[in-house]
Amino acid sequence: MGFSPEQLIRIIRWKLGIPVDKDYRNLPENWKVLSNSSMYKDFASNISKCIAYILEMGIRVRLSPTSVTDGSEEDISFFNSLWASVAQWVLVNETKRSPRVTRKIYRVLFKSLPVSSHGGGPSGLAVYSGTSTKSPLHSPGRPSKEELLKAIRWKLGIPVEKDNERSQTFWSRFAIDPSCTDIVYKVAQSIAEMLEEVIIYRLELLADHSDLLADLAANSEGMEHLDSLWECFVQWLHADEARRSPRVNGEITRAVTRKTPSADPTSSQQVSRVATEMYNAASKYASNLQDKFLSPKDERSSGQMASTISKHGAATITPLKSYQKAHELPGLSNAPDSSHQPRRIDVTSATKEIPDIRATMGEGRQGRGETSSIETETPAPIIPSAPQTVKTEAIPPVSAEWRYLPVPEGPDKHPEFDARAMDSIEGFKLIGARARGKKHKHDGTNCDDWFQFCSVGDWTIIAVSDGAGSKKFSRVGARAACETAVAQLALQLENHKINFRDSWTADTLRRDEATGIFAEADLDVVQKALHNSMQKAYEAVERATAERQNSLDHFQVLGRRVEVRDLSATLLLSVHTNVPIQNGVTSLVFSCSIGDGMIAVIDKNGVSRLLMTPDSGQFSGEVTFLTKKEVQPDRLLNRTFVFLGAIRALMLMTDGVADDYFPNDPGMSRLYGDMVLNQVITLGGILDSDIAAALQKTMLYGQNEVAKAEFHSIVETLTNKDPAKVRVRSTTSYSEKLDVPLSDVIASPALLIAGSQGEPMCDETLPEEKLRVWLDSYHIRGSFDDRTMVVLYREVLP
Amino acid sequence: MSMGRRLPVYLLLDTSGSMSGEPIEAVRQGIKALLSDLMSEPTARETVYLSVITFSSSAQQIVPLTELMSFQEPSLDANGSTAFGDALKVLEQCMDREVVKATSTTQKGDWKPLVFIMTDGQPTDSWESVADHIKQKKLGNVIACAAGPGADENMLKKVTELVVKLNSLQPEALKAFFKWVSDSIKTTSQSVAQVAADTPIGLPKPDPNNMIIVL
Repeated sequence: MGFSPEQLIRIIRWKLGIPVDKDYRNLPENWKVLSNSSMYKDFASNISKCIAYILEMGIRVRLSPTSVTDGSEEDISFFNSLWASVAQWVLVNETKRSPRVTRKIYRVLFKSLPVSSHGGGPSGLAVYSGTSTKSPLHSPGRPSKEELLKAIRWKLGIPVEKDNERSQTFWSRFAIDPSCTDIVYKVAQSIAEMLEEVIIYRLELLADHSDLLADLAANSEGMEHLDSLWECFVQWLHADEARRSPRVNGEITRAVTRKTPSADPTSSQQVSRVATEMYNAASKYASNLQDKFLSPKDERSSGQMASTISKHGAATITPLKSYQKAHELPGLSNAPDSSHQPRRIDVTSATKEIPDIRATMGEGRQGRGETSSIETETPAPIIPSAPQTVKTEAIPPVSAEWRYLPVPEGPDKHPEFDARAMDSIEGFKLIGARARGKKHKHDGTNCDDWFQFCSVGDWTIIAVSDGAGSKKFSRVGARAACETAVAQLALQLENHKINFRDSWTADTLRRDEATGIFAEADLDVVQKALHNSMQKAYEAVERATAERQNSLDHFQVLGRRVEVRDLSATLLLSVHTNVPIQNGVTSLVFSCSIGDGMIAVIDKNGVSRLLMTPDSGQFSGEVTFLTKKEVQPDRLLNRTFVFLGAIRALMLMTDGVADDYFPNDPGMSRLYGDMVLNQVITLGGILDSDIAAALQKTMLYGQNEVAKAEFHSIVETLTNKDPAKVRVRSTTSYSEKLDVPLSDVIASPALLIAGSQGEPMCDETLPEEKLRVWLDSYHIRGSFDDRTMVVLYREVLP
Repeated sequence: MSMGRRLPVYLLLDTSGSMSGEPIEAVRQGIKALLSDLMSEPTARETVYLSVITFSSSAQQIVPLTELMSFQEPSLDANGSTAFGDALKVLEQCMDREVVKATSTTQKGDWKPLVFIMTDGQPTDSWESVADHIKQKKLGNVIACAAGPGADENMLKKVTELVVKLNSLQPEALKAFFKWVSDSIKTTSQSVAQVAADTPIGLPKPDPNNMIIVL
């Protein structure tokens, strides 16, 4: 699973409804991953304990019977304001409080009290010393528990309807009772337990707490009210974020970052250690606080107390914004000062809807309206991300972290996608498509690929280019190179015709060993045109650079003027014509390339013939680019190829695709198979009976069986809109299901057609759009580059 | 089925006696932090393969080149001398065996490997000629770290141009080093595709409190 501590915290915060910063996008997915992992339960339990503990401390401090000694201002206000939220909650819920919560609160408070209900009996309580007043707990005739309850409520700042004065007096005496501390601890603990229940509920750990579940089942509104307690806590947390005691911040952060969870997803111990550390940090903080605030009582005279209090003043609490300014909650003092009466909290500004929790559970804050008057950040809409598992892969989903950021505004913003088609000459269709890769989507950067094609005279001309990943304006180079190369080739080949020959042999295609010049002049014209276009393409890149020399925008991006190397790109060129032969026509293809990617022809038998050797250094990624040096004719000779013969298709692509079909021989055939199966290339001219006959010889002996066989996966496109679900078929899986060797499947148009029937790959109908969708969707681990392909293909095979 | 190209990362770590106690524990923690950090970055998670080679009186590859998701942290003990020459030899052998060159027609070539060497003291075996050989060979992007006052950055310059120096062997310093290693790997994994062969590797700035780049 491997989340970093920061991520874990963000996921938990989000799940608990505490506003996180704006990048919400992956949180729902991350939550799913986290909550399904084996260590989640321990981790979440520890978190809930930790948070409840902090609240517990707040209550304890609040109820502290001793005076404030030297606690820092922020510590005091931290806990005070925390408690103010809780108090608010209690009051808001006063009238709506469910029986269950009521019972719980009373049980809590009663449980904490060691005295018997008769008021007498010394159990746990010592007789006072130092005053002549008897212990109020022993006042005859009064149910002391109730009294204490009220006093505690008063002390906690929860307005008591009557008997304020009485409660106050009661409290001041109770405060010096030896059992007070103990009682305070228990009260604090019990109330914190309630909060812990809310966290358990929110973090979806209910299944492990059958008592709570049973309790809730008996009383359905119980959790809603507790949950609104949580809302208060959250508001406080968020409102106080900036002012929160640096000590708490520091302790928790330190605890979490000191030890990070292991990357081993099965090591639950290590991850729960993180949570335990958090918990320990909170405890440590709490015990420090305890030393400060809860020091052993000295029997001070009231005079001394008074002076201590005046040193700090009545601790004014920064009220929550929903309170009216007039209010002051009792400070951390226990001076018997009547001016410190708790006033009624103005409920109107504090009331808020209690959201329908069940409906939105699992979505955190998502789906709820603004529920409080505290300024909280409106969460950004959750943007779905993460293509799902590809069925054919044994590796578990690794794409949960990929996010989608749109193409940025800025100089030379390029369209994210491109898809075009052209009806070529004499029986071929021509389509091209380009899709921004996952890495660029994740980083929010431009697609660096480009393609261009045209059809003039007897020729189809195609160019594909991939801008260098590390160069900021390489896409500009890619585009300039493609557009110029195609224009130049069009100019030079527009009126060029290949001569008729009775027969073509290897000799016809011969080139001089030394000079590389074609023996046949009409063929050499084409080679020269290609080399010329390479040069012109490079010149276009230089021009594009010059045009941007004085651009401030570009300067700002680079920190200096733009240079040619910032536009580095590859260039793959290919031209096709039908040549007349004895009994008809056949295809003649020339290619020339600088860089990586692939140019391949699929011959009439489905066999791939590679028309380039990708430039590569010792290691992958060490690519040659279009440069002044590389476009010299002598450098291009070894990069120029020619092919003559009947073809099913000519394919040009950047390495974003080529790499996924490695080794390219015979990978390119498999790519052709995938094009047909995924309905990008529609084959015709085969009788249904021939298809049926072909199937009969395989394990999937009829079209019905093909329909039932699973050789596809459903993939979600990574996008910021509703992700399309794409049905990606695989030739490899198909051939396994058929139990026919891969090359035989590809050789058989009948089998390919059979495999392409049935459910559509996607919603698009045009071939070029289908190509774009397929490029944008198919998922392979480690394949996150831009993907571009141009295909010239026959629908009726030779 | 097809899988992406791998980014091989080798950690060559000094586990001599002087590293015992806090330093080696900090190294262990550093590796853990490195792993979790890399797993959180998608490009790194999908491409990085990690190997650990340790050296003291002799060198051994304690974790072969393994993909991140399967990587088990090794236990590390520190005792013995500093057989740096042996370490470099073992590094070369492992890389020759495990790294796939781009020229291979049957296997997808790996991206240019990253090697991080860390030592805290002087070598105790003969190492100069091996170092020269390594420097010539261009195994990939090799970065060496002279950890603490006992380490000699000039010695490491004989192995590679890219040398960093850690102020001390305190846990904070070692933690900062591993964070920097992680950032370097992530940056590299994000820009693996299409780099001109002699483009210098862009390394992130190190934390100046703990580390400097030796010019």
